Amino acid sequence: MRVLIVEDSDTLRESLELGLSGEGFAVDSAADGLSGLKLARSNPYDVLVLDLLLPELDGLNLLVQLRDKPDRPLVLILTARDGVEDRVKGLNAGADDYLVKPFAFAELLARVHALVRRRYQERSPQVRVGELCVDVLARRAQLGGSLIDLSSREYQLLEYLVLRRGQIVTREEIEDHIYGVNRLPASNAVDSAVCIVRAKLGAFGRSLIRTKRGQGYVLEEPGA
Amino acid sequence: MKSIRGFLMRTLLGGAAAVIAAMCLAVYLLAADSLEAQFDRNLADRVQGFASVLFQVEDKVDFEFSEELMPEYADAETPAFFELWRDGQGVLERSPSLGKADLAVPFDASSDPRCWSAALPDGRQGRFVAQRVEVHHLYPEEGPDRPQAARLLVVVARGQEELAAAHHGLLLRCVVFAALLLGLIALIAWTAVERALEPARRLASRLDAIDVYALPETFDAGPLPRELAPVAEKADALIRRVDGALQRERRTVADIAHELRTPISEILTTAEVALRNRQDSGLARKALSTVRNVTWRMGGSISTLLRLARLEMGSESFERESVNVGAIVDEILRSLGSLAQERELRVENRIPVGARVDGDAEALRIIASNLLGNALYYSPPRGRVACSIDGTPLGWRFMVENDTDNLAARDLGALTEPFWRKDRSRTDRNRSGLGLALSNALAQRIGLQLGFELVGSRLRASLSNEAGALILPVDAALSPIARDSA
Repeated sequence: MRVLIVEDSDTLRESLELGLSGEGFAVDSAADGLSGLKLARSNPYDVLVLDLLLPELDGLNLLVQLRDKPDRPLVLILTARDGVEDRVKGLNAGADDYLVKPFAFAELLARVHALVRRRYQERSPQVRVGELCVDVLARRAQLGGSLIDLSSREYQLLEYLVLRRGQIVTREEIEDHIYGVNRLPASNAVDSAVCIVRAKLGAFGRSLIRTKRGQGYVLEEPGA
Repeated sequence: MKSIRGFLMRTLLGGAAAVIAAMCLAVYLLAADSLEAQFDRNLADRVQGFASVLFQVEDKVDFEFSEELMPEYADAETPAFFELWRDGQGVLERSPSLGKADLAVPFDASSDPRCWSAALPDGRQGRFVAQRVEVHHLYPEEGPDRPQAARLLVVVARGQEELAAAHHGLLLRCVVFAALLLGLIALIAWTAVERALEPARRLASRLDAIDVYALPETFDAGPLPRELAPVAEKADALIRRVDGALQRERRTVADIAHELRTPISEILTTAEVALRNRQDSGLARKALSTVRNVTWRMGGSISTLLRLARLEMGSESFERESVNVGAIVDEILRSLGSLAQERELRVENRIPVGARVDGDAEALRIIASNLLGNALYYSPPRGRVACSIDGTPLGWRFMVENDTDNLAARDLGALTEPFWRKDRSRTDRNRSGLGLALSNALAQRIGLQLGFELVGSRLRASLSNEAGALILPVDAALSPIARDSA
């Protein structure tokens, strides 16, 4: 899943980037409102973690300007402003969640996961497709009750395909959601990763993830 | 004055008592005088009474005294006395009460009654009257043989018991009247004072009802007497000041909370992320370094806040000495040289190194450092920063000017508020937003005024002293030094 952090505190932004990357998110960041708006407009983020008091363009204005973007990310406001009025303003401007500083990183992570689930209309953190069970909180996948050994990138790919199960997912969309803007993948990286994941899923995997020639990939329960 | 009621009651009753006492004394004296005059008239009438019962036949004077008619002259317990002296012949008659004694007789008395007080023969205090009278002829035919009318000196005396009793009664009435009058005045005064103090109590009650967390926009004291209107006006002004101070305090507390939230988040997140990656020792070291830096920065802000609080409480003491402000400015500008160079600023220092003012060296250093630091930091690149010091009619004025491209006149009042920054995002962690607040508090404590004004596109900070001398070195006084650096 891809997250954009717009936060003017260098220390906090770097820590969040590091922490969320460590949790398997593809993370981009911006130190001011204008850069953040530019990134948010040009990339398909799942979640936007947004500070309110930002140089150049404040968070509320950024939200308003992002409102018209189709498929805009879900927004978690992360701010030191704790007044009810501030929360109301933020939520009314289009935010989906509001977290006041100081916060526990675990809580922020849980909220980001909840937003991701909401984005893909999942109620439970455990998503089942036939014998495959993906736990997005624990970041692990099981096949028939056995843990599948996946690298971080492979897990990200599987999780994204599972969350978009039944839909054709293009290579570009996969790249956009599992790689940040600063880490452009090699031209066949997605195809290689899909092959590896399929192989790790065995015979079930080959029927689970199918290639749609010229379009991309689709993950759906065999026989569906 | 411990109590208005006590003071008014004491003053009113004291004054009333003095007036009543004087009035009663005057009445008493007048009445006593009148009583005495009446007493004397009564004695004089008695003399006339004696004169009317004296008859002269030939050369002999007859006196028809009757104890029945004049029982008071008999030898009673408290008798009256009389004595009749015929000129040149001695005592003609004396009252039985005198026995063989004589009254003190003023032989020079005239035909007008003369009254005096003296001891009576029986030892009592008495009142005397003496008058010369001419005796009537029993046969008053005129003729050359008619003897010359006899002249007698009549002396009458009686005890003053009745007069003293009348005096005593009069005095008693005066005292009772005065006491009653004073009591009545006390009652009226008490009622008047209570009614006069009622608006003050009402005012106190309205003040007491004010909720400090919801101060009214204007203080409604209700209808008040003219004398209390200024108190209500001052109370209203005080409420405005308290409201302003509370709002400033709330803003400051909110600002402090806001200022601390981000660094605390930085520490927390850095620590939590490091803990999630325990095996990464490089990350742990970086996290510790970040935590140290952020904590250090927070500590600096907290120290400044504590110092501001101490300054507001007046618990810091300052020296008064001759301070080489020129040397201080020179030293500060040297330490800021790299910043000036980096931002390509033109810095003009017009303060001679030997320029001296009276004040606290450390406080002046902090203020000058903040003013110059801000000027260099916030001036647009390639701008101009200038500092100077001038003598004024009563003191001196230290000025720092810099170019500004984002300040408006409405911002000037907020410059000395803690944590105020033009950039609301407060992204710049190198500036705490407390420097000018600290400078302003220091300036106030050492008797200086810190002010700001916009002169075109330049911000001018002035630190002035209205009662202190500026001492310039002799050569500098003649031609001020300007040391420019770029």
